[in-house]
Amino acid sequence: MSTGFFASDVGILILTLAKALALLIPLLIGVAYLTYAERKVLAAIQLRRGPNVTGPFGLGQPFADALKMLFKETIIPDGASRTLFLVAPMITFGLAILAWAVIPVNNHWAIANINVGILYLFAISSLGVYGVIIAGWASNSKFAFLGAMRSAAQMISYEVSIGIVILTVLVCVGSLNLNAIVLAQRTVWFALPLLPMLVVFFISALAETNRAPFDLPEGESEIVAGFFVEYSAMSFALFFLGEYANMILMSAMTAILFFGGWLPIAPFAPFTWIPGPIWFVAKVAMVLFVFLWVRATLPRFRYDQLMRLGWKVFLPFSLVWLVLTAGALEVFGWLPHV
Amino acid sequence: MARLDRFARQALLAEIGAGLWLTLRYFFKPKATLNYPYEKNPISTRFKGEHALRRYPNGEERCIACKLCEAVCPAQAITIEAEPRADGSRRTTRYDIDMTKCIYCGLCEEACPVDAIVEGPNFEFATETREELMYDKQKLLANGDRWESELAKQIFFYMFAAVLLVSACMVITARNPVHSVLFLILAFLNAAALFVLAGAAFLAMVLVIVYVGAVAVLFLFVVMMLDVDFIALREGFQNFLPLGLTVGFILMAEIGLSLAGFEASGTMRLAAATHRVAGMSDAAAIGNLLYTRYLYVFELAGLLLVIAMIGAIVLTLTEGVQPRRQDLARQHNRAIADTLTLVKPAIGAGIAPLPAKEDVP
Repeated sequence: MSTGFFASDVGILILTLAKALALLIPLLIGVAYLTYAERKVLAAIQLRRGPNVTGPFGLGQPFADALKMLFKETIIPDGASRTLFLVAPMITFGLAILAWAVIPVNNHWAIANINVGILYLFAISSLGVYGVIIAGWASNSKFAFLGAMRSAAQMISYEVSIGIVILTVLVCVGSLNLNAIVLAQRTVWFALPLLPMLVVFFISALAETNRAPFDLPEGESEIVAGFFVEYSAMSFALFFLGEYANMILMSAMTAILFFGGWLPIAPFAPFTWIPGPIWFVAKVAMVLFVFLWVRATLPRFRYDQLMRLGWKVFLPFSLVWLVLTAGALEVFGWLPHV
Repeated sequence: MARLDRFARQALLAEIGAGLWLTLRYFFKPKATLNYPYEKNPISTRFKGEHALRRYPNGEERCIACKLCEAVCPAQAITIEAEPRADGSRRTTRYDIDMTKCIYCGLCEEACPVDAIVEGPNFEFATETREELMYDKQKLLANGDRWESELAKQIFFYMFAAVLLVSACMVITARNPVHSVLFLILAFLNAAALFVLAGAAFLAMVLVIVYVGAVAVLFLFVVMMLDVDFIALREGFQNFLPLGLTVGFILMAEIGLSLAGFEASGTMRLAAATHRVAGMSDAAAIGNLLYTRYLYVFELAGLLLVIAMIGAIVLTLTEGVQPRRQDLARQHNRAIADTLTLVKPAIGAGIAPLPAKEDVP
């Protein structure tokens, strides 16, 4: 592999493109079927059947929806800022895809195994707010604007606690590399010793992806659909897909930080037969199910409750837990030395 | 007494002992020397080293034999001969550089209209004979092929730098403040890309997370909320010019000073270089410096930030009407009997005023 065609510039380019496609195509299919899964799970919890007409078990539904979206007309409101209006959904969707460059689905199976992988993920997820805020502003509509404002405040608030949770994990690993983070969990998944941090991370992830019970930026019952009120057709679909891709991304982050990524549930025979990527996908799917489950269960938070939870509960709590973790590692001599 | 003290010091070899102790301590200190052929200092992206002739990605030579480099070369080290090729394009038949004459001024690079002749990052091309330093076209093209990836990286540097400068100018000239902030974000992102090119991925990510992900969002938030009268905003433009220039000048001076200080202090540069060559990741190197050499400055900066934060909270904390506190536990635990009273009003009499219940929000 190190010599020959795949070592030349063109070869590396082709190889990288192939790797990107090998990740992107399953990801996009995953996004499509997540929308299907959401409708099925919600339906089941609400004692309904969900989509079941298009294809066997309604499996053709995501593609039927996509086709419908493609053939609709994109409406740009008068007085909207044209360029920004069209760019916003691309930013949302593009960022959700971009982050996958560093996600390892198996040992060293990542498109870019960079040293600051977790920081890259954090940076990309903190950029996600721009799609929403630009969409809200460019639409020149008050509901969209309100949604954008809510989302800006909300996403920044919860990023702070996500950052501290990530720090806690980093203290236990001693590296910013995602591969190293997973390998550090060979003895025990961080979900066990850092269980409270897992809870904080998951709830913050709900807020970061604007999912129920923190879907105030959309808030159908108050501000119609929030930041994407004015969007239609494919530009709407991009927001929709972006939201679901972000959910998968956050689930992948949860799996990597707390559930040992591609590692099997126990390091012996029947479990080690199953290859890493399958474990990874299974873990991501499990977290995704909790996303949907939460949506079916909890009503939307009020805005002041959301802010209180973020700043007055999660922030101090995760800070204290970070200090405690660091202290425990120091006292018992478990600090990783890299 | 003083004499006794001096005598005792002399007799007990105190100064010599102190000196020995000092040198002994230095014996065990980390070495400042770079283990040269195995470890190297980082060099500037604009380093002017050995020459190379570049090709286009399809393999065609870039050089169009315009002879500008030959004309501009102050040392007259370049010799070019050219004639039209079979396909009609003008190419060099001979492109020689006498490396013993070259003064590495970089003028050939600047003169070239097609980025064909460039000075690469290679400075290790000493030879055993003088003849080997008379470079011909073959040698220069081979250099180009060898260093192409490095050279192409520099093109990215100029690309990001150009976008950065343009968007920085747009920040102050854009008519709409929201567009200004968006250009500011673009500038930040390009600066982050430059950091990545310089090998400081950690700094790049921190820049994106802190400035783009948080600070700029707040800017955008505030600017969007403000109902700005753009014309009124433009009026004061000229009046603020002196102030703006002063601030700009002070900033420039500060950057110059810190650069000069960095260049002047050899230990600092070596420290930076040693961390780089010791195979540490840049995050580890930064952490190492921050928590050892610059610990107090770092703590001081943290303290300043805390003070600023408390200041901001004090400034915005308004006395008087506060929102009513919500007590979730109390809300959850209240029973129907606490909140609901069933009354049977007599027909025609209405409801008598009830005794006030405890106010539960």
